[in-house]
Amino acid sequence: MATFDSALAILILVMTISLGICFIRLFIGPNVPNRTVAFDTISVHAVGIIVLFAVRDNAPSLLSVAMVTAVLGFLGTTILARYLERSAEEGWEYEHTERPFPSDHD
Amino acid sequence: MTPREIIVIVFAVIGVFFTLVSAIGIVRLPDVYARMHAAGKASTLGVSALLLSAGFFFPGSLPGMVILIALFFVTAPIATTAMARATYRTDSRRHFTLHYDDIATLAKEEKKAAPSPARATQPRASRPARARRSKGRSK
Repeated sequence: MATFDSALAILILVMTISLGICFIRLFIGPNVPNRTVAFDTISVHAVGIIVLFAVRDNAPSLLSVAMVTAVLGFLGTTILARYLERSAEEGWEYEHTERPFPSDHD
Repeated sequence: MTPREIIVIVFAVIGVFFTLVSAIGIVRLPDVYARMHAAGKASTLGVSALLLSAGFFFPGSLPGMVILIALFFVTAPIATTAMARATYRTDSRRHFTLHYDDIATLAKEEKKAAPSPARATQPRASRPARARRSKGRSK
């Protein structure tokens, strides 16, 4: 049993290091698409770490937490991609900010 | 170690290995599209092996884990396709050429069908927020 616990501890440590590597890309990513890819991988890492904790602590109720995290990560990635795609259309911001800024007249 | 624990550890090692490889690929690969290719490894192979290990550890939740794996196999290509299409439309820097470019053909047809006058008169360079920021910095 001790071998099982120590193996799971090592696996959780490796997953944490891998999550840190993903945060490097989130930090140095030159533009928003790179950061979106990093965010997608970070949500997948969150699901994996929650599943490993459920196995280590013998808590099957954490698996529903993993399900909710998976769905929320997919929604976040899709909404970020949709925001990116809409931001490419020129003049998109003028639909909601029709009043000009005061500093444009001087 | 019982045989069930050995199976659980083997599947967890496979999942963690693929997730680590995907994370290294996200940092090391040179292009956004190549990084998306690396991210797909974590979201299909890595997380499905991890969920299978949890399903073998808790046999009562094995059907739920299989459903979650099916959900990942459905949602990961959708998310990657949305990201790739948004990147292709916003960023014009590419290291490859496509023989069949459906997005460019569609954009050309849209421009030919309806050239909208509102977008042509207001170019993107005259964005008010950026102009205000530059003015404040010059003072």
